[in-house]
Amino acid sequence: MINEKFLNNWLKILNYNNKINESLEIDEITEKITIPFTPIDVNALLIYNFFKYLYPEIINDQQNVLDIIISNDKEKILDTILYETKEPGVPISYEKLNTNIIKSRKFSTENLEESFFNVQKRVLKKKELRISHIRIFKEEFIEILNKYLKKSDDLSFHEFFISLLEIIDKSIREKLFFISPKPNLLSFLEDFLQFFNNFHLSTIFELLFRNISKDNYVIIFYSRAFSFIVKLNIKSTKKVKNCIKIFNPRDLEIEFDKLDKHEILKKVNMKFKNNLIYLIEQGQILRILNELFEFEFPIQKEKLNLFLQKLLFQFRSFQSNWYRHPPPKMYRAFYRFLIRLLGFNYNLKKISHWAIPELLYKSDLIFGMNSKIVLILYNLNPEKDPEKKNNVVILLETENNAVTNIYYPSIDTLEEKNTKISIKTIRNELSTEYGYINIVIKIDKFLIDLIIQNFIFKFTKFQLFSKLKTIRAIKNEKYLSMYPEMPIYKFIKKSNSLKIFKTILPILIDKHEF
Amino acid sequence: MTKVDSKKPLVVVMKGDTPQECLINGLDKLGGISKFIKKDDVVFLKTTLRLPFGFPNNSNIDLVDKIILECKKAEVKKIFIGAYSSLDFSTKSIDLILGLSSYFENKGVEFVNLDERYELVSNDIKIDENEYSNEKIKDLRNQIPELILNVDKIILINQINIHPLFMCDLSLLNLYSILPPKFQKINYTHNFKEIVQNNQYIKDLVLKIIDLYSIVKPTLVINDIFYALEKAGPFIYKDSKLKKNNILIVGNDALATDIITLKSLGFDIEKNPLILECKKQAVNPNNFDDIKCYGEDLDELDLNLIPCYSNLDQIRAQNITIHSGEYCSGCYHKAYELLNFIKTLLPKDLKYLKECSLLIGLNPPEPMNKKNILLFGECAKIATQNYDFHKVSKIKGFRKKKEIQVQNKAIFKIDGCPPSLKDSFCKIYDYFGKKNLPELNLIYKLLDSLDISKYNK
Ligand code: SF4
Repeated sequence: MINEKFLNNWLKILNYNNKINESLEIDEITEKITIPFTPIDVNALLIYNFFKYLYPEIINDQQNVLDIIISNDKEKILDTILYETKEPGVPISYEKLNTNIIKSRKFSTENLEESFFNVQKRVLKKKELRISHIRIFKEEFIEILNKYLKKSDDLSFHEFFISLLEIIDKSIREKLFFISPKPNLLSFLEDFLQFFNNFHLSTIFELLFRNISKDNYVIIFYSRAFSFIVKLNIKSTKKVKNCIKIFNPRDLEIEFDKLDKHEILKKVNMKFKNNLIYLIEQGQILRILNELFEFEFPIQKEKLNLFLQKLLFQFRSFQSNWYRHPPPKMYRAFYRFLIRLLGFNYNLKKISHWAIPELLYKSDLIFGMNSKIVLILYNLNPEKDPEKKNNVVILLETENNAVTNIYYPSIDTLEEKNTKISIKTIRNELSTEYGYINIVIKIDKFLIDLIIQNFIFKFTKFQLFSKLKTIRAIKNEKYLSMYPEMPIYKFIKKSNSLKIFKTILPILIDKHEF
Repeated sequence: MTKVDSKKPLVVVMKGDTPQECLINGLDKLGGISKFIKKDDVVFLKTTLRLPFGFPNNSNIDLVDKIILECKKAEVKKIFIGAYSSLDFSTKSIDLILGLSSYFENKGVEFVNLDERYELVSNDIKIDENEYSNEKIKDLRNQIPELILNVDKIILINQINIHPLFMCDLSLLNLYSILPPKFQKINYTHNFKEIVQNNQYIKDLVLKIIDLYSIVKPTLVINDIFYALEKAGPFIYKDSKLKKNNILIVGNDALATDIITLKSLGFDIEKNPLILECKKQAVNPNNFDDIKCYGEDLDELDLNLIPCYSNLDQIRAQNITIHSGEYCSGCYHKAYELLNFIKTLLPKDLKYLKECSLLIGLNPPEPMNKKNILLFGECAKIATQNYDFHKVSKIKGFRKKKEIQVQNKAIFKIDGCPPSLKDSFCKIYDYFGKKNLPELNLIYKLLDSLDISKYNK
C-alpha cells in the first residue's frame, strides 16, 4: 500500500485535473498541491500543465493508463488501478479494478509487449476503455518509495536529489518497474546504467553539484502554451521545500503572452532581486532530451558528433534559444573588444559548434579505431572514507568508432610519488589481462572539478586567471599524468599557459559566422 | 594439424572470431610455427608502423603479441620488432608517442630503433660481391639495415587497408618499408613529360619493390584483413570506414599471400601493377594455380572492399577545387594524401581557406578564379607558365585611372616531382598564415613539442 499522504495528494491532483478539465476557471485555482515524489508544493494548475505538456512528450502521448502492482516474485497481481484521461497525459479518475481483470497466465514482465496487448484487450472488453500504456510496479518499488516519502519533507536539496536518483537507479537496475510501450527515456536509462555498470546517477549528480556555484537562480522554462518558473537556492543545508519553488507566471502576476522575452526577464527580475535569471526555450530542451533518449548503446561517434553539434549550437544561441538577466558580460561588444585587444577572441556566440565535435574524429586517429584506454580517476574521495573507493579505474574499449565495452579493473595502489613509473607498470599489467592498452591516463579529482567549474559552468565568464589555473593544473603531474604521453599533453607541459590558451582558442571559437 | 609438404607456396585463408584465433588455426594448417622457426633462431618481426597513431594505421598489437608467444614456444634466441614509418616520422618519435619499446620490453622483445642501428652499421656493411652482381641490387642491399639482413628469420605482420596505388597494402609493399624513408622515396628532376606519359613513377616504384623482394624474403607472412580500412586509406582518414572481415591470410611466400589476399578482397589481380610486373619478371609463383590455398573458399568469401577514390575530385575537400591535367601516379598519390589529410586534420582551416584552386599535372584547365592558386608539382609549374592567371589587372592612378597588368601574388607553388607531403603543408602554412590555419598551427606546435626534428636525423 502506498504512503497515505502520497495517495491523498495524488487523489487531490486527479480531482483538480478533472475540475480544470470540466468546470473550474483557471483563476479559481489557488490551492497548493505537492508534486508527486517530491516535497515541493505548487499551484494545482501547474501540475495539470506538467501532465498536459510534458508527460506526452516524455512518456506517452495517448489516452488512459493502467497501473499494475505485482508481487516481488512477479507471480501475483496485487493491485490494478485505472486512470482515465480526457486529454493525453492528464489523468482525471482513479479506479481500482478487480485484479482478475488480468489473466496471470497471459501476463508476464518477460514479454511486456504481448502482456500489454492482452491487458489492453481485457480492459477494453470489461470497461469499454482503450488504455494506451501500462505501468507495472513491483511491491518492492512501493516499499522503497514509501521509505523515501516518509523522510522526503526533511531532506536538503542535495539529499533529496541523491535519494531520488538512487531510487531511479536501483529500480532500473533491479527491474522494479516497467512501462509498456517502453518510452525512450526508460530505454535510454536502462541502456545507460547497464553500459556504465559501475556508475551511479547520483555520482554524476554529485560531480556536477559540487562544482555548480551555490548562487540563487531563477529559471524560466518558456513556451507559448505553458511556461513555468523555478526558483533555486541550492545551499545544500536547506530543506528542499525552502530551496526550490515553482511558479506559474500567473502566481507572479506576469502575463507572459503580452511580453517579449527581454521584458519577461525584466519583470521576473523585479520580483526576484539578486538572482541570476535564465530564460530557456522549453521546446529546445525537449528536442535535445528526446534526441539524447534516442541514443543506442554502444554510442556511435557519428551520432555523438551530431548530438554535440546540436548541444553546442544551443550554447551559442544566446538571445535566441536562451537568455539571461543580467546578460553575461562576455556578450557585451565593448567587453569583448577589450579582451580582443589583449589578443583573445572569446566570442561565445561563435563557439565552433561544428568543429569541436570534430575533435572526436581526431581521437580515432590518435588512439585508433579499435583501442583500449585506461582512465584512473584519482583521489575521488580525499577524506578517505573507507566506505567509498578512493580511486576508480575505467577501461574503455572501442571498436569501429564506438565504445563497446567498459571494464573496471582493479589495480594495486598507485604510488603518488612515482606516478610515471607506476602508470607504466599498470599499462603493462593490464595489457597482459585485457590485451594491448593504448594509454593510461591518471586524472585527479581536483583537476576534474577545475575543468567542470572553469570550462563548463563558468563558460560565459572570461576569467583568464581561473582558466590559466586549470591549464597549470593540467601541466602538473600530480593532477594529470599519462603513459605514453600524447603529443597534446607534451605540448601543454612544455608551453606556457598563455601560449596554450592562445593556440587552442581559435579552434574552439569561429572567426567568422558561417 | 595438416601435413604440408609441398614445393608450391602455401597460403591459408582463415576465418574466426578473433585475429589471434585465426592465426593459431592458420599456423596449424601450415604445419605449426616449428615449420618456420627453429630453436635459437633470431627473429625479426616486421610490422606495419606507418604513423605514430593507433590501429589500423599500424598493426594490431594483440596479433603481434600472439606471434611473439608462438615464437617463444619455438624457443627462439631473440626477437626484434620494428619498421620504418611511411611519412617522415623517425622510429624513435613513433616509439615515444606509442610507448612501444617499454611495452615490448615487458614481453622480452626488443623494439628496434632502426634509425640509430642503421647509422651505426651502415659503414660496416660487408657485401658478398658474388651474391649481388647487379649494381642496382647491390646499392639497394646497402640501404637495408644490417640487423634485418643478419637475422635468421623475418616474419611479416602486415595490416591490410586499401591503398591508392596498389588496391590494398600488400605484404611486398610492407617489406619495402625496411628501407629508411629517404631511400623509399622516388623523385625526378627532369623529363617530366615522359614520366607522365610512361607513368614512370609507379613503374620505378614497382621495380624497386621487386628488387628488394629479391634480397629479403620473409619466412612467414600474415596479411591481416580481419579489420581493414575501405573507401579511404591506408591511413585513417575522415572518409575511412573500418570493415570487419573476420579473416586472416597466412602464407609462407609473400607474393603468393598477396595474390590470395587480393583475390579474397575482390580485386582483379590482373590489374594490379605489382602483381603484373612480378608476372612479367617471372617471379614465382607466376600463376594463381601455382599456389596451394587452404581454408575458406575464395569464391564464396564476398569481402569486396570499397576501393580508394580513383579521382582526386571525389575526395571533396571543402573550398579546394581540383584542376587536373595529365598527371602520373606520383602526383596522384601525393595529392591524394594531401587532400585526405587536410580533410581529416584541418576541417576548420578548410573553411577559412576561401576558394583555392589546386592545379596538377600537364596542361591543367585554367581556373576562373585567380585567387589562391596552388601549383602542385613540377608539371603544373612548368605547364602553366604562360597561363593568364599569372597576371591580374589593377587600377592605378588617382585622377586618371589606368588599368595595368601586375604579377598575381595569389599563387603558391609546391616544388618536387612528386612533391612531398611535408613541403606541401609548409607551403600552405606559409601562404595562408597561422591566423587562417589554427588547426595546422596547433599540429606544428605539437610536432615541435615532440622534438621530432631531434630524432629525424
Ligand atoms: S610532377 Fe607530378 S605529374 Fe609530373 S612527372 Fe612529377 S610526379 Fe608525375
